[in-house]
Amino acid sequence: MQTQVIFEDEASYRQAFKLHYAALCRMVYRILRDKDVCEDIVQDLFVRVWEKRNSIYLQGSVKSYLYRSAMNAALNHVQSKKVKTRAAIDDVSFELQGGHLPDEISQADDLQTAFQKALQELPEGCREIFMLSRYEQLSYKEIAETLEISPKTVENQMGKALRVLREKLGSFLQTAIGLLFLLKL
Amino acid sequence: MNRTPDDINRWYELIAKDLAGELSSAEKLELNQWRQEKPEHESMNASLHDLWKVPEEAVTFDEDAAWMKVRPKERPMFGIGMRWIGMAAGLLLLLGLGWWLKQWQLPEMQRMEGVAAHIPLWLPDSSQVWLDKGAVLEFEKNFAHGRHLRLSGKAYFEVKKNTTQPEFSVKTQDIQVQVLGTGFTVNTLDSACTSVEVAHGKVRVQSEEKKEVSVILEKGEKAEFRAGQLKKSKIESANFRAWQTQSLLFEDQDLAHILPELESYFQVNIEVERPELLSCRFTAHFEKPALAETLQILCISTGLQFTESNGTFILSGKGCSSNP
Repeated sequence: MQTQVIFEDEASYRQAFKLHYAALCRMVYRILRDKDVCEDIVQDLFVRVWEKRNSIYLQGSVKSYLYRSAMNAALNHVQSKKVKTRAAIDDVSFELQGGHLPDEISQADDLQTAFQKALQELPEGCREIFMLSRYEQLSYKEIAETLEISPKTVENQMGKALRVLREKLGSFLQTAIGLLFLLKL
Repeated sequence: MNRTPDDINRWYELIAKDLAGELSSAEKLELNQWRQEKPEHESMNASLHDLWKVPEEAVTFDEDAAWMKVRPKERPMFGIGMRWIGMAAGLLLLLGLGWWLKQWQLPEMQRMEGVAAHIPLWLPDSSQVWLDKGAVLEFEKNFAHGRHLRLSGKAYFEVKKNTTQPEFSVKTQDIQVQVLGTGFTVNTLDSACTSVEVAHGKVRVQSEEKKEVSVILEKGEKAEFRAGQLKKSKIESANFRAWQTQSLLFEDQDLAHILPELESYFQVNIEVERPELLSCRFTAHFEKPALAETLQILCISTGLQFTESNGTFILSGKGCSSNP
């Protein structure tokens, strides 16, 4: 693989920002669930990378580098500030209620809400892989580079995500989905 | 037939790959076969497709506001020791000249990206630029504060004389080129070497880092900036603008000169079977040349043949040893 400088100049920096800013924010938002904090983290990342552009040499793509850095920054934030993500808080409250999450999913008003809840139920790594593939259209190879895992793991986890989601949302998928899409159209 | 858990996981993985667009053609066949085996296979496949369609909750981010925070700033105005004074002064300035500062600090930038190198694009002052594919040019809208441009990639400029804004400058990451009505190419494609070639007129090329490193170039001259040094030389090839004009001219030149120019124009590798062939001479003028046709004409008039293997073209044959 070829080694290259991350940004040749301001124009390529600007281009990378335009291409990836919103997607990186969405990715960090999924982990932190705080819009302001996630924008701060991604902006800080861009400023830092620009300042250090002459000492950053890439092995993979700019895209993978940015996703990986943003992911690390988000996880560091969780660690250092001991931030409880909304997902974590949700988990705790379900525990207190005696773990009725599956019921909650089946009683949700619509598929969208049920889907969000089911997503939060996925193990963190599995959810992240699914989200990067489904909502950011990253290829398996890019996901593997971003999370520093093997493409085979991406494949396994994608299968697992679909299986778990289908198990949790089974009733919706057979009944509600047609209605939902009819209503949306 | 009973499915083992391993089996069913594999089908989930294959359907996931299908949805993510990662399926190989062999896997596609396999998956289609499995879907047709039983109705429940088809319904599992359909329900996962439905699941894939569920949109994510919408969160939006203000990209423009964010860009203002992360875009590269000009040099810091104050040292660390003067931070407080700096901030106070900044506040006063903001209070006094709020609207003016805003306009001055946040100029509206215009951006051009090269798509077709042979089609000229107009700049706000009716100068013209030919941007090579992938080149990016940025400048302030309407040249509100002068004709200053930023370039990455390769571009040829035809600069219009302008008495109210005589200066026209192009910056790259490492050099600055200043002009007074002229035509010239700037090329940053080689990351180790930025080059400027002047077709007519006069330009000054200056290192961004050390202003004292500069040269003046006139018609037919070029400068290369490499490792902090500027080297001036004559443009030897008549085809230095071929990427832009889409024409190639060879006047009784040997293949040692011609082949590198064909390689650079067509972005291919061309080799000769024996080094003697490099002394074959050739004269031709091509307009909008195509690679195969160009090589054919070259081979006919030099008595050579060409073959292709793995993207490299090889010239072989008896050649022109009898030629003077």
